[in-house]
Amino acid sequence: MSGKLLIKNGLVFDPINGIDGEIIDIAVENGKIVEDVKGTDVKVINATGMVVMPGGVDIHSHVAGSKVNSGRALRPEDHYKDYELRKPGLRSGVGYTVPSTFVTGYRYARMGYTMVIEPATPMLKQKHTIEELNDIPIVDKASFPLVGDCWFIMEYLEKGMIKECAAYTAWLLKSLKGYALKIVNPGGLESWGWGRNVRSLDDNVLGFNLTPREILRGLCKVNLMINAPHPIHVHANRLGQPGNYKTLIETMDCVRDLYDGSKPIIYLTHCQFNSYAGESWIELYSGAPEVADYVNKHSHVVIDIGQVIFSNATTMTADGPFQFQLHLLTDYKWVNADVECETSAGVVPFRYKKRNYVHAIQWITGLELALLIKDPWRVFLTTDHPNAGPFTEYPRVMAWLISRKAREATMKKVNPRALRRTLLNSIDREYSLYEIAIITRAGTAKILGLSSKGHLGVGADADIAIYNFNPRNIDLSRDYKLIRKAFRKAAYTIKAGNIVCVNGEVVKSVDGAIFWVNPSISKDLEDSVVSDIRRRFRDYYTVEFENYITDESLLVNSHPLSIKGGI
Amino acid sequence: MKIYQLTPAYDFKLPILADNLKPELFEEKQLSEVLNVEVYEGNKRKRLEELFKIKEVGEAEETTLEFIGDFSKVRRIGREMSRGIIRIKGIAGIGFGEAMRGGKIIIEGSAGPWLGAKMKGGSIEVYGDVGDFLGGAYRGENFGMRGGTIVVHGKTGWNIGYKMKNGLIMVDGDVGGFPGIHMIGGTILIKGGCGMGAGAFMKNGRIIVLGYIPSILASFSFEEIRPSIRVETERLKGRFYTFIGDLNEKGSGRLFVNADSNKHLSFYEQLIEEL
Amino acid sequence: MEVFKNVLCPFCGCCCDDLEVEVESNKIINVRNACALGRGKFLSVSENRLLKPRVKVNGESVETGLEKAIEKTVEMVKSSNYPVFYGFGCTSCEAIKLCLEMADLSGGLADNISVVCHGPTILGLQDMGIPSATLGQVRHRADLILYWGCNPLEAHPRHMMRYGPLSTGRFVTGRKDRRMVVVDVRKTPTAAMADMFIQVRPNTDFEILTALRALINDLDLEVEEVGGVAVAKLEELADIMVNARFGALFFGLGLTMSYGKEHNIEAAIALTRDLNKKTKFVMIPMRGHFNVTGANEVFTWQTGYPFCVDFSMGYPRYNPGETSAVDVLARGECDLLFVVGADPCSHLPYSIVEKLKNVKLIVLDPSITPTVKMADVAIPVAYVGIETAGTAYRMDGVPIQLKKIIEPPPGILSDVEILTHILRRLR
Repeated sequence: MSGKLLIKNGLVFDPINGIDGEIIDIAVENGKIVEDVKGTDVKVINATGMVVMPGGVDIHSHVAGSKVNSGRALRPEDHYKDYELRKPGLRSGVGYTVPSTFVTGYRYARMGYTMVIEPATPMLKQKHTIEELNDIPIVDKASFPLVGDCWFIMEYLEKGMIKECAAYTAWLLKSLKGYALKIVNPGGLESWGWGRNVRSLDDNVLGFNLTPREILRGLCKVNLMINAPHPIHVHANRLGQPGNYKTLIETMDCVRDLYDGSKPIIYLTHCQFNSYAGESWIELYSGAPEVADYVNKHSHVVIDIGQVIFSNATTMTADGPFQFQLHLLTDYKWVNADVECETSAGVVPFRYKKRNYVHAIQWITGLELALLIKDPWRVFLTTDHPNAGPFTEYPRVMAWLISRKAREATMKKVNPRALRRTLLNSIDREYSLYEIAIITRAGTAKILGLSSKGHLGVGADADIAIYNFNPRNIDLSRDYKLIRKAFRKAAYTIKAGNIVCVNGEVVKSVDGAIFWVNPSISKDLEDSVVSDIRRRFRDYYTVEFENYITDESLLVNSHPLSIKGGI
Repeated sequence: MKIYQLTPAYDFKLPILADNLKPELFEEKQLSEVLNVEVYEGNKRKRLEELFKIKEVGEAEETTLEFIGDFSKVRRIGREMSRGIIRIKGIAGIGFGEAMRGGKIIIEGSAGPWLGAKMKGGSIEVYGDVGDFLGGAYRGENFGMRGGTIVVHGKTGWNIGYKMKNGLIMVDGDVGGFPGIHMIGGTILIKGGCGMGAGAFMKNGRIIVLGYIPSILASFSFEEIRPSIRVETERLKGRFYTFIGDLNEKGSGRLFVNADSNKHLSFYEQLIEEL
Repeated sequence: MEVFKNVLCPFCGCCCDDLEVEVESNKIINVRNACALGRGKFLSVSENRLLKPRVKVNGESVETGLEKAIEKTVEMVKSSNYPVFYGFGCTSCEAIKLCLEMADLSGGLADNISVVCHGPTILGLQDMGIPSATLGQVRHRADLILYWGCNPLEAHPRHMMRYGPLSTGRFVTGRKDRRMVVVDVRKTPTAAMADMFIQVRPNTDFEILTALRALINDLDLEVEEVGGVAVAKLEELADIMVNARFGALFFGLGLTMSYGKEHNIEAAIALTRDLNKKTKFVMIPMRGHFNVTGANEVFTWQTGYPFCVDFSMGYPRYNPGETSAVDVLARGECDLLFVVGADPCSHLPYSIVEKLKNVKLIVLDPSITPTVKMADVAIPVAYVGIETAGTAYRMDGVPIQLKKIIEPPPGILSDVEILTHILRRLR
C-alpha cells in the first residue's frame, strides 16, 4: 500500500469518463484514485501544462513464455548492443526486440504503460509464462491460453458437446490462471503437427472431424456461455498470405449471428498481417479499406492493428506453418516449438525496410486500418511486439496517427510504388489525443473487461501516466516530434499509487499483479467434465493431470477476477 | 607522431577489458589524461596507469603503440582502430584488433581467439600462433570479417574466417577444424594443412589448402583441376583439385586443394573421365 | 504411511512425473514407477550427507555454525573481483534466480552446466534455430525415431517407453508402427534394440550428417563411404527419413562432445530443417540433469543469454569461450567459485580442478562430494525435489513442479533459504 498523492493542474484525458483535456486534480490514496486527499503527508505533483492519462494498457505483446524465451535465446545478436546497467534496486538486462524480463517492465513503465497482456501462452507450458510474468517488474500482467487446437476442446466441439466444452474452458482459465481464450490459425496448428496447414475456414482439420469455422463458432459460443470479460481473441487463418483480407472478413463474419448487440464478441488481432489484397507478393496491396468497411458496419468486431515499424523485428507466433513459410521465404534461422495436444509456435528474425515494396505495403496497411476505422473504441494500437516492431516504438505509431506530417516524413522514404498503389497518401485524418488515449488505454481496458483500469475515475487503480507536453500550446500535427519524445519518456509514471518513473528514469521497482479469470459454473457440470478429462488425461499428455495445473502460489502477486458463468 | 611503450604493471590474473587502447586514444588525449582513463579489471574499475607502465619512447610517421609482455588477460586491445600501428612483443589477448578499420597490427608472439574478428580494413601480421575464430564473428551475427588482410606465420586454432564476408586471411602453418565455416566471401589461404570441415555451410568465397586436408565434405562437388590460383598479386602454381560448395546451402564457393599433398583424394580424378 | 503421487523424479532430463513415493516416519521406504536411477536417488537420500556447514581453517575442514558459514560466504563474495557462480543442473528455478541476482549484484560471472554438456546445442541453435516439439508430439505421431550419439536405455531409462519407440500414441499405437534407428560409435544396449543400427567411426558425425543432408537434398555424392559408413547405407537412411510421416531425432553428448561440437549440432539442425521441406521432422536434445533446461530458461529470460553470462561490467555480456566458466577457470581468471547444484570437481577436466586450489570455493550441496571436500565453505542443503519443492523444466521445455516429500535432516535448510539469507546481506 502506498501513500497519498495529489496530481495538480494537469490536462486530463479520461475517455471512459468522457474527460477531454480538462484541468482536473487527481487524488490518490492506498493505490486507488480517490475523491480527495488531505494531510501533511500528501506528495504533490505539479502537472501544470502536462497531459495526464490513465497508465497505458497494452492488449497484445509477446513478452513472456516459451516461444518468447526461444526468441531471446535464438538472438544473442539482438542483445549485444542494447543493454541496461544494473542500478540500486534495479536489475541489469538487455533489449532490443526481445528484451529480458526486467528490462521489459522498465521500458513499459518509462512510456507510461502500466499493464501488458501476453496474448498467446501454450497451456502445457503455462507455468513458464507465469514465471516470466513474475519477473516483469512494475506493470500488471495477464496471459491468454491457446485453446483453438486443443484436442479436448476440438473433440467436444466435434461431438457438439458445447456445455462440456464451456465447462472445460472455464476450468482451464481457472486452473492455469489465464485471462481469456486465444485462438490462432484455428485448425492450422493441429495440421502443422503433420507439417500441413489449413487454407480456408471450411477445410477439414487433419485427424479431426472439424473445420476452422466450427472451432471459431464453438469457442465464441463457449466464451459467451461462461460470461468471460474479453471476447475470443483471434489470430485469423492465412496470416501473411497475399489476398488474405477475404479470409479475415470471413472470420469476422462467421460469428455475426451470435451477436446480441451488447458488447463485441470477437477480437481480431494484428489485422495488418491479415489485410493483404493481391494474388502474389509482387502484386500485393492493401486490403485495409475493405476490412475497415466491414468493421465500420459491424459492431460485433474489435481489432488491433499490428503496425509495422521500419527496424529489426523478431517474428514469433503460435502459427507454426506461417513461421516455417517465413523461414523458407527469407532463409533466416527458424525455431519451431510444437506443443503436444495443443498448439505450435515458431520464431524467425526479420527486418522491415522502407524501400522494400512488400514491407512498405505492410506499413501502409496498418496505418490505413487505424485511419479508416471510425470508432476508436474498436481499433487498438499494437505492433504485435516483436512481430511488426518493438513496443518501445509505440510513440512513433502515435505520432503517425496524430500527424499527417509525421506520415509524410516517412512516406517520402518508403517505396514509392507502394504509395501509388494504396490510399494512405490521400488520407488526412489525424487522431486527437482523446482518441489516442482510447486506443492505448481506455479502449483496451474496456474490451478486456477491467473496470478498474484505463480510467481515472474514483475507485480506479492509481495507474497514471503524466506526459510533459501541453496540447493547448502546441500544434499536435506540426510538433509531432515533441509528442513522440514526450510519450517515449513519461514525466511521471505512477503504478498502484507508487511513483515508479520520473522523466523516463525508473526510480522504484514494484511487483505488478497477474490478473486471471476465475469463472464459477455449476459444480455438477464441472465435476463431471473434470473427472472425464482426468480419466483420459494420460492418453493425451505426457504429464500427469495434477501437474498440468498451475497453482496460485506460483504467482508472486495474484489478482483473480471472479465471474459468474452462465452454465 | 609518437611511439608509446606499454608493459604490464604486474602479472595479470583477472580479465581486463581495454578496448579503448588504440592509437586514436593517444592522439585524442595527452599522455597524462590517458593514464587516468578507466577500464575494468574483473568487476572493478582501474585507471590505465594502475595496470600498465606507459611511456613515450620516440617518434614515428604514425602513432605507434608497442606492447611488451604477456597481455593474454587484456581483451580487445585495438578494437575499432582506424589508423596507426600496434606492435606487440608477447602474447595478445582475446579479441585483439576486433572490428579494426585501418592501420596495422604486428604481433611478435602469439595471439588468443577472435583476433581481428569482424575486421573491416587494415592489416594484421602474426609471427607466432593464433587461437580460434581468427577473423571471425560472434554467435548469431550475420557476418564476420569483411575487409583487410590477416597474415599468420605460425598455426591457428579452429573456425578461422567464421562467417567471413570479404578480405584475406593467409596462414603459413597448420589450421584447425572448419576453416571458412559459414563463409560468404573473401579468401582464405592455408599453406599448411587443416582439420576436417573446410568450407562447411559456405555460400561463397575461396579456401585454398596447400597442405594436408583429411577429407572433403560430401556436399562439395569436384569441378576440375586448376594449374594455378591467383591470390592478390601472387600466383600459386601446382595442381589444385577444385571443389564447388557448400551445395547443401546452394553455395558457389570454391575449395582448392593441392593434389600433391593429398594423394588420398586422387580418386576424384576419375570423375574427370566421367564428366 | 503416506503415499505421494504424481511426484517429479529429480534425476535426469526425462522428468518423469508419475512417480509414487511411500513415506513412513519421514523416511522413504518405496518408490514406484521410477527407473533404477531415480529410485536409487530417492532411497539413498540419507547416505553420505553433509550434515553441518564446514569452513577451511588453516587448510583443515572444520565444522561450524550456519551463521558463521553464511557470514564468511558474504565476506568472500563481497571481496571478490571476479566471482563465478556455477552449477544449477540439480536445483530449482527459484534457487537459480537467486544466484543470478547475486551474480548481477556482485559483478560476477554466472554459468550453468550446459557448458559441459549441451552448450554446443545452444551455440548451434543461435546460428541456425531448431525445429523442435514437446515429447508428446513424438509419442503421438512419430513413425521414425532416431537416437544419435546417445544411449537412453542406460542414461534416460524410461525415455523410450514414455516418449519413444515403445510408447503408445493417438496416431501411432506401438513399437510395431515405429521404426527405430540408432547411430553411434559402438553398439550400445539401445542400439541392440534398434531396427537399424549405423556404426560410425568416432569423430565423423559432421561428415555423415552433411552427407545425409546432401542426399535429402537430392545431391549426388561423389564418394562411396563417409565416416566408415557406406553411402548405400546412408541412402537407405535418407530414404527412410524422407518417407517418414513424422520423424524425431534425439541426440546427446555423442554429438555435442565429439569432434565438431557445435558444428555437429548445426549439421543436425540443418538436416532436420531441410527434412521439413519434405515431411515433418523434429529434434530434441537429451538433457542430462532434471533442471539444466530450467537453468537455460531462467538465464535466458532474466539476462537474455542461456549460459556464460558475465556481469562484471554491470550488464550481461555473452561470449562462450571467453565468458564460459570452464574457460575462465582454465585460464585461472577467477578468484571465487560459488557452486550450487553441481559437482565440478568430479566433472570438470582434471587440469581445471587442479587450478581450483588457487580459487576460493564455496559450495551448497546435500552430500559430501569431492567439491565439498575441496571447498573453503560448504553449506549443507536439502535435496531439491525430495526435501524441498520448486520448479523444474523437462528436456523439451515443459515446466513441472518438484515436490517436498520428506523433511531434510535437522538443521538443514533449502538452498533457496540459504541463498535468500546471503542475498539479503549482499544487498
